[in-house]
Amino acid sequence: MNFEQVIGLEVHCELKTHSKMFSSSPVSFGEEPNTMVNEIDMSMPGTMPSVNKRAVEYAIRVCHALHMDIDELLCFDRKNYYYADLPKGFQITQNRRPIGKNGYLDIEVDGQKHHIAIERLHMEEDTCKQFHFADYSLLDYNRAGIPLIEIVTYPSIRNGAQAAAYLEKLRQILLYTDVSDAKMEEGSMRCDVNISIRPCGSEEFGKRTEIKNLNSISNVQKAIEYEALRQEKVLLHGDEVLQETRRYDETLKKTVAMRAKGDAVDYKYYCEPNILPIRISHQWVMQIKEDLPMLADERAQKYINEYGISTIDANILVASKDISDFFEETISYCQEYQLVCHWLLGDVQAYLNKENITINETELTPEYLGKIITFIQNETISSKQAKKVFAELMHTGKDPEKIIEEKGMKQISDPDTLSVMIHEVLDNNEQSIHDYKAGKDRAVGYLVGQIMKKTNSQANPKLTHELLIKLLKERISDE
Amino acid sequence: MNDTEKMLKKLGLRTMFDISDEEMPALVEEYNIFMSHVKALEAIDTSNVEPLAFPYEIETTFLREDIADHTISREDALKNTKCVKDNQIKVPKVVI
Repeated sequence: MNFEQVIGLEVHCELKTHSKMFSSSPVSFGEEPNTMVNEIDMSMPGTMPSVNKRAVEYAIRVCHALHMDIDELLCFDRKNYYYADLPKGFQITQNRRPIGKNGYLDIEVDGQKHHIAIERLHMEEDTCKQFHFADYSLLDYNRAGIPLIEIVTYPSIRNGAQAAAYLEKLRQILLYTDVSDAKMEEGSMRCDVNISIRPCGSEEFGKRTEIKNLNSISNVQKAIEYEALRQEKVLLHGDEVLQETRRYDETLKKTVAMRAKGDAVDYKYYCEPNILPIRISHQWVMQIKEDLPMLADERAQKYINEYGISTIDANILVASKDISDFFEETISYCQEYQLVCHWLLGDVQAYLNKENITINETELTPEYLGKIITFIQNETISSKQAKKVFAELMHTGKDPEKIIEEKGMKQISDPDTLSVMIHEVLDNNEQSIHDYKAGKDRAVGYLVGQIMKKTNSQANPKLTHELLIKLLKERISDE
Repeated sequence: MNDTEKMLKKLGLRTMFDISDEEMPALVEEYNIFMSHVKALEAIDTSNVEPLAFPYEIETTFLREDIADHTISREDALKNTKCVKDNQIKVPKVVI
């Protein structure tokens, strides 16, 4: 029997605002425990939440990017549960009226396009960070209250590869809209998977399991692939899939049962009494749409159509927002679009891979890269020298202009100066002139080498070659 | 002890009140009065009536500017905590 997978994803994403969702304490990472909190985060009696404007703006940005209908009346609800990760005993979220509804994201897997329908996007607050030890847990409330958005798809995903492609694209949107750093490994983007299988052709949903604790996109894909197979085995064995929450064990490379869904608590949602409904202006919502930063797909199209960059290269450039941003800034210094692209995807990327760092962690600046390329273009340095300048720059952070000056790398491109030197070399290499006359092209290579040696590799190679041939021919005809 | 008394005793214990035998008759009486009010409310037809969450049907427009300008000291933050370890709140381990 053939089975079809039915998958829905829930993605939580921390927004990079300055202050928290409902309080004016700072959003921070890696600070001393329990220092980035105030009375509201600690739920002290008498405190009242107030909604962060920028968090709402960021949520609206993502809603626009995901083509969602936006609810211009903000309503919040209480999700009641008794657990130490929020001291209030409830989480403020949006249950009845999420800010965004009915969106979609188009993805491509192996050249095939898929339309992923998105049910909702709502705002809520993050919980505290827990550190579990053998028989106790420690709580750090610095994270409690950080603005979160949760994006929930319809069960419209059919396999692990589609889920991974959706997450990649969603992550790109979160980065390009500039609302989050969306790092799965650091927990600023988190994903839960709901998965069931059913016989192909069936319209009914099978019993589903939920998978938590997924800290990378590739683990999401692996977990789905494992879980689908596991459920298939269970069904083929004549057993029933249990509705339960599972986690992905990275070492075992399989999903492991955490708890039965039957134990699920009733959250007793009700309208958050401390926040009256907030009407946001239609004009503001439209303004946010107008000001939306250019997304990856649009940027790629611009690179292809306006800068003449190949589709493949354009897609690689936009795959990382850091690289794409760097490209955009570099071309403000140097309009050699294809060369800038070539350098970024070639030497720069090779360096980043080797050092395992991102471009913003290096000494390279868009201005410096622009300078290197300009110097190649105006023949101040050769491509070969440029690589040396690049290596030195990455090592020392020095201005390429300074490196060229200090290392005496400036190319000799003045024909008169070069001619004098070439004549000197020819005077000392009579044999090579005879060899050239006898049709031995090797002689040219040898002579160029001699000239390079004499000029400390500063001779402009192209000009040297041209001049050498010209002078050789003159000498032969003079004989 | 009849069923109502047993229920009240149980609810009391759950909310940290041990209701004494002397207190029970008064509580049962109050409970019966309360339930008669609930019956009266239940008789009202509320179909097509939206639930009321706030006493005033008003909307606001206020959103707080995103400025991080207020924290309390760690000492104050942890003042109500019975058990602190490494500047963090120590609780029994419960993983959900």
